[in-house]
Amino acid sequence: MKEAIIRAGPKVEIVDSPVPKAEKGQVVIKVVYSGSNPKDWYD
Amino acid sequence: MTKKGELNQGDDISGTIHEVGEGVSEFKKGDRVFAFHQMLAPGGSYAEYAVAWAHTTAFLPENASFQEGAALPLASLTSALGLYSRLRLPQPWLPRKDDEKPIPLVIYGASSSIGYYATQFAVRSNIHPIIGVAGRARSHVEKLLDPSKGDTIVDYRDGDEAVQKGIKDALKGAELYHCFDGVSEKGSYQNVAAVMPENGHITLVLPGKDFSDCPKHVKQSITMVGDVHNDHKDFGSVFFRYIAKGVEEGWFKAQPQEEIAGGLNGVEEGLANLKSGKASAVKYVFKVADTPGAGKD
Repeated sequence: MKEAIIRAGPKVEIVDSPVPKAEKGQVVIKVVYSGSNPKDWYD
Repeated sequence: MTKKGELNQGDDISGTIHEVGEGVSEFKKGDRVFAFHQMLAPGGSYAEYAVAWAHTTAFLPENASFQEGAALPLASLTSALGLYSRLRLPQPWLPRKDDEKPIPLVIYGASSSIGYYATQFAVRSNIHPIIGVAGRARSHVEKLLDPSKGDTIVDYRDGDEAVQKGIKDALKGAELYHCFDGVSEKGSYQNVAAVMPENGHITLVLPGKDFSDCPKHVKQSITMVGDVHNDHKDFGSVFFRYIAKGVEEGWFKAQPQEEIAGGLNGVEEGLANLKSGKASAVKYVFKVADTPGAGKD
């Protein structure tokens, strides 16, 4: 799957990653929309 | 290889259940949900598939879009923790009665996502007067307020002295004991502390920032939304489902969303806008399926 990694800047790199697995008490969600927050960028 | 701290930082998820882990009976594959991802853990929302704890996952009401679902999680839970865990204000399901003493509350940064959500919770808790500090997006939050109960907006663009005077005037002689400071910088808590007596309480929202310049006569606390995956799990579970109920019933609304084109390729532009302060009363959301090369898993 495609996944975005946030680097300083902020710079964003799209990488290929394995689809995650749900552990006990978790769910895996097929993301339709993702939302952003000020904490997502850093220096 | 990614360096420490360089990861998929996305925490707001909106989508459909793909897989359910052991011990999760509430959801099944295909359910429409929104969820708050555990911060700094693998499986963030800037991806085609993301991981969330079931207790911070809730059904997305039929009347809510996936875009709205993506605008809610982190910010709405931050506001809930600030008002109800830190400031210990009356719960929204057990609101202040009209004949009980007013509870003045300052919400600093009232038109930001967390301020907008805090204001909606405060209204639900019948907390008044609500004194919202806002700027260019003030009309966005002003619509939620009830001037007949003393609610008002103080405009921070008028400068620190005017903000202090504005809050003081809005109090009409009452004492201010509660502030949700959704800004927590640029003089915000100093302005509030200037009009607050001893035992007043300001809850701040930038964990890791040095708040040693916060005036000592007031109590300060830090609202950390990560607590819902730590020592506030039940709080997070109850409030997240309650937020879904509020959206379904129409008394809790998502911050307006702006979609940035290009799927995950748009994240960089969204974060740059957040960093530069361009964002005003808006949540940036990303349609993951529009990411080049997506849809192969």
